[in-house]
Amino acid sequence: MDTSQILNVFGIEMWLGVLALVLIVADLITGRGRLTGPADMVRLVAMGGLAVLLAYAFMLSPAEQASSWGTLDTFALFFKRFFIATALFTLLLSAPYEARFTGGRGEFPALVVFTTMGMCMLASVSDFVTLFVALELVTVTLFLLAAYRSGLPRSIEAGIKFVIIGAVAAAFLVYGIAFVYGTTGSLDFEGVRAALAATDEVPKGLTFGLLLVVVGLAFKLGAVPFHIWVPDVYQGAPTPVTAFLSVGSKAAGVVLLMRLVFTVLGPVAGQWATLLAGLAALSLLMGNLGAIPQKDMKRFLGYSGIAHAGFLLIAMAVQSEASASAVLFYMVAYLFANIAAFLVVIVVSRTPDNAHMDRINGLAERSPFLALALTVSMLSLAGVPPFAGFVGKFLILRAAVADPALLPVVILSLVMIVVSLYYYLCILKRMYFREPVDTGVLEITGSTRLILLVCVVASVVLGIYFNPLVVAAEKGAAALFG
Amino acid sequence: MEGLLFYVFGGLAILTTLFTISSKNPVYSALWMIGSFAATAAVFVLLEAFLIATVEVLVYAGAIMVLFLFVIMMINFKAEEQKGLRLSPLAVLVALTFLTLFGRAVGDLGSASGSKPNELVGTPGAIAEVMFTRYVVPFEAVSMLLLAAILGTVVLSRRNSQA
Repeated sequence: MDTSQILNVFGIEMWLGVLALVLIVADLITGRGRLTGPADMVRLVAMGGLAVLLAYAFMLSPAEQASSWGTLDTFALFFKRFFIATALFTLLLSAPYEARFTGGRGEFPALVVFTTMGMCMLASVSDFVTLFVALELVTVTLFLLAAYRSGLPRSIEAGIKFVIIGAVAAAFLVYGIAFVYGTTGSLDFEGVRAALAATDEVPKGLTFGLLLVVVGLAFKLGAVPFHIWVPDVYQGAPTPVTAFLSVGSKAAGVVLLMRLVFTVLGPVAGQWATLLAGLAALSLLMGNLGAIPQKDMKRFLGYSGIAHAGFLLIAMAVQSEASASAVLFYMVAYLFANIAAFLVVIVVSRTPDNAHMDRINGLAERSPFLALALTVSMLSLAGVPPFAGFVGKFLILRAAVADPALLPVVILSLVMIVVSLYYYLCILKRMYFREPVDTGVLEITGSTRLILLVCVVASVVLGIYFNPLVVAAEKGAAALFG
Repeated sequence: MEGLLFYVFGGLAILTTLFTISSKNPVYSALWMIGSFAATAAVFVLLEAFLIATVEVLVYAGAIMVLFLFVIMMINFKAEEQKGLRLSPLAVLVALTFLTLFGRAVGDLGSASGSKPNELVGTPGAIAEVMFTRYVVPFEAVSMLLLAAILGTVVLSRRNSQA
């Protein structure tokens, strides 16, 4: 055993762990007077650390060969950068929200960094034991973050619902892993793949085990029929946490499911396409139809997230290199659109503290800039050209039409895009054509403006000048098939 | 002999677990659960997984059950007592589907390549060895997980200064 070998793969995770410890200590040193201070030291340290690590992740080159500890291929690196960027956005988002954390602010960045550490580990896992532990690190810290405003009944409710559903999902996962181990005698992805490739007839116990593992991961992804927690938890959790959940937690499910479907299940992938396509169809139906009657912005974005999970599942059912790279592009487009949407929600839901849709009525009059940002975000989520979301949807559907067996799902997804246009445009109608319900002055800080600007510019630029990201996504996806 | 003992303890585990979920009184449920843990521990012993058997008794039947009983005593479960088990048709359907899949998977286990390892792997020494070599990364990750959990628990249980 060589420590440097481990750090070759898990270097970023180690530094994230160190950063989390530093944050805990920094929180102790800066003391209790923080609650009224202008800027939170701990958050600034966390953001600085994450920014440095993000730069480090961009400079890192993929490891030459896979070790038994984990894999650091271009695919893992792509997602590590994605996760660190998401965490950075989450902390930036928490700045205008922080005053609402009455129970203490200092621990929040530390918990976010712990979650990020787990997510980055997930991108590199190559055996089921590390997978489970890293996934629990993500899930447990997200439970705590969801319930972070412990003075608020709905935050506690979100936390408890999340704990129970998360425990059920974890039980499925572990039970599945037990079957996989029992039938193959191996916990490594490579060993399971070899066992699948070796036999013509896969033992039913192994298929059952893998099925349960997929179920456990589908919970993370928020795919129907494992989506029940999504709307309630999204609504009840503090808004920066909801943003983190909707992007980071979904991407964690995506990264594991892709690893599993494209590499472990590789030899028998064809048999799983139908199942994934079925989940995709259900998610598209449930997400899009469920979003229509929603009256709460966060719940609404939750249902829209379920619909997006459907799109991602279509790409996984296709199982080609083109579809895998489309998923990576889609996630980045989704990141920018979602962060902008949640930030607008944070600003408009300041006082009183709820995210009812009436709150964005007439937003164009109150703050044209916020309205513009939310417009771009909604249009990007809906997949309207020339925004990034359109390119993502286009890439997935282009990959999907190559497989004639998936035609019904593709047609369904096209119908559902039209449905989704309706409810996304309803949001625009509220902003531009309704009288404002709130009349208070919106407090928009410089950092809020900056993040919104970044998200808007990224959504537009990636929609027009998408080639660099497409190339990066192709490089990332190629590692899965290498 | 071993085979007979396996069926005895396996049967006990199933029975006590059934009583756990069907008891109307939560305290009885908790007590049946101790029986379930004990029977499971016995099965682990038969499989020569001695450490796991010990942990099952110490941690589950010991620590976790005490926690359960404390919670049950602190919250008054009066309303729940009357209800008992409710079955919705959908739940029955899902459970039956799962049972069918499970039955087919288990029925096919004989054909799997898994074989009984020829050396003792369930002793503390053997487990410690793989834990600190092959699985040292997840082991370290667990320590971070526990630290994060402690941190979060402190935050959640703190009295709100202005709630």
